[in-house]
Amino acid sequence: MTDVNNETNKQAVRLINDFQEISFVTIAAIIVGTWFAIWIVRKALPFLAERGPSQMRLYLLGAVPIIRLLLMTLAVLWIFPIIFNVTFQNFFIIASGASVAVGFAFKDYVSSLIAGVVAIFERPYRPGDWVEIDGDYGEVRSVGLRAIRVRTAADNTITIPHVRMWDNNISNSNDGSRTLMCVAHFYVAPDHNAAKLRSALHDVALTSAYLEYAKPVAVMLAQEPWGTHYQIKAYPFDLRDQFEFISDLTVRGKAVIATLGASEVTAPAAVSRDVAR
Amino acid sequence: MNDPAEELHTFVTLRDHVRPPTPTDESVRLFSGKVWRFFRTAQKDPFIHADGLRRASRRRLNDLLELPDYGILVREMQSTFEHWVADAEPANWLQLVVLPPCDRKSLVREWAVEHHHTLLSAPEPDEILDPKFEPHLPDVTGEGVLVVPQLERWFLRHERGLRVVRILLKRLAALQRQCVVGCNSWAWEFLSTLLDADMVFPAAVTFQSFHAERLHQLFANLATPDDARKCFRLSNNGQNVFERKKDQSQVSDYFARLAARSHGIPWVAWHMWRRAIRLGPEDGDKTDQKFPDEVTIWITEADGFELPTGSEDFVLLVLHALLIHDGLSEKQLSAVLPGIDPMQILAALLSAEIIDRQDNLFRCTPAAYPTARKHLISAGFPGDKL
Repeated sequence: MTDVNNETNKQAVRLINDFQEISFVTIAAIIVGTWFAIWIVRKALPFLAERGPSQMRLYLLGAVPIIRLLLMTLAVLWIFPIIFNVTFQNFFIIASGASVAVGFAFKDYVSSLIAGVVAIFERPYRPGDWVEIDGDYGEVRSVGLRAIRVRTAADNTITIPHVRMWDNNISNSNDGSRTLMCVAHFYVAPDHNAAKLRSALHDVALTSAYLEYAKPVAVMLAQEPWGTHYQIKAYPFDLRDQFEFISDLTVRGKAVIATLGASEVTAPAAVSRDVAR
Repeated sequence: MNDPAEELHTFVTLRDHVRPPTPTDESVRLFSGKVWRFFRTAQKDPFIHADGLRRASRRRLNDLLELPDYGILVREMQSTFEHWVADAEPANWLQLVVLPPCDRKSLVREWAVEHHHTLLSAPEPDEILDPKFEPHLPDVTGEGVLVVPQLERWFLRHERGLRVVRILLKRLAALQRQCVVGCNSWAWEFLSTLLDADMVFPAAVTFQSFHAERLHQLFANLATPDDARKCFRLSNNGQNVFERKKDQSQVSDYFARLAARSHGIPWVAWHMWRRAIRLGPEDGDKTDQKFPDEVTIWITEADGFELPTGSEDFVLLVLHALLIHDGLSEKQLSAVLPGIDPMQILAALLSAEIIDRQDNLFRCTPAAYPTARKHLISAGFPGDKL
């Protein structure tokens, strides 16, 4: 009986399995297999998303981080008992060791990883979403473990760590849907027929080739000290067309303003610079 | 039992409209596209290789395949509306007929002419864009049925192009006279969603889809009349597409597949059929010995249409505009798509046979309509309900 207890204690104290018992080939195979599966998913799903029906695009892109997380979790759970002697006692030893390492060396990195896991479930952004984080606006191209990669309209790729999610506002323009609201602004001198212009700008939106029929179209106006501020608010049928859509509304909206005899107002250059800042 | 050829359907509401089902192997083919076609070709030895067959000249095609008699649809339309027309105090003064695009014969106009109803012609496109133009509607309070055959000709998708159709809809809404309005399904989607045109009309109706049996009946009348020896066979298995089993079901599933591919639109099906027609090799081969008593006309797997590459987004914008208006001139296209130079795109589409040109009007070809529709829907463009 005593021998059995001693053997159990030894087992419990032993943290890592004997080297002879650890199959490094199996571990390597799991790591390579998981890496390969993730690589396939990261290549295949975006490929299909760009070539398949646009209705499926965001679903396919959004599935990438979830599948990757599942595959990595599976791999860790598979490898862990091969290396470690998993007992209740050992769990605490490993957990406390890991806590010290994380606390001193990898605090920010692990914080980003945890934020990345939270982001997968909380979904403040998904691949394909258009987000603004800390002044940077662009499309989420990929959601990695530590960071996301955002491509801006100027074709810059920005890497933003997930940890920014803890203390920054994240503005998501489409939140997983295929379209997003676009706004075209017009600044018109006050001396004009507002009802007529509003109606004409409404028709500008209705006749855009990029318009999503199923979403509402609105023309808002507000009286400002310098004139009237018009905003056409409408949705394109594909969010990737947002800049084309706004440009189309702007070009045709300006033509309508001129046709109706109204004139646009501009701020002096000094004021414009201040506003831009 | 009634002879199915004599059966006269009536039009159905858009809600009750059912597209022909897609046969299983057709679904697989569509799903796997080129891969399926490659393996199918590689594995199956066709009855006769399509490469060895000859394309028929346009004149020969016209001799072989008469244009179908869409009079059946005119009769169905009359059957649908005859009681309503005869009613002096109908519940609805207006009726709306929504038809798929590429309706080159204008079914509603044909019905109106045949039954001597008053036609209301659309203004010229240039007039539609003229803000000073007042559309000259005839005395809409007169006697008899008023017919607006193509509502899509009353607007242009342009900031100044909606005024005339709004005036027309306003007048029609107050009308105390029977009026039938025809509209292309793509234009109707635009007008009903964005201009609330559906509030003016009762439920829109359309003809029942041409499923396999209806297509078989329609085309059988074209295949035989002058030459009983004429026989239409599939190049991949040699089956006579018009042959029936003892229980009167069809031997071949060709018409089921054609109905599915053409979305049940007879003029689209006819053009797809015509495009697949080939003549036997001039020097003769084993098939001459196999069917010595007949003139065999071969039906091949027609080549698909390929959209021009390089400017896919602009190509789709052009196709969408053409479908909504059921044809536009280059000048009108420039008006509805500002910022896009359409001439090169139109040339590429003409070369790909996706559109054709009549006078100055560019229109989607009926045979290419399913391809155009598939690409537009896939890219997220607002589509139609038929």
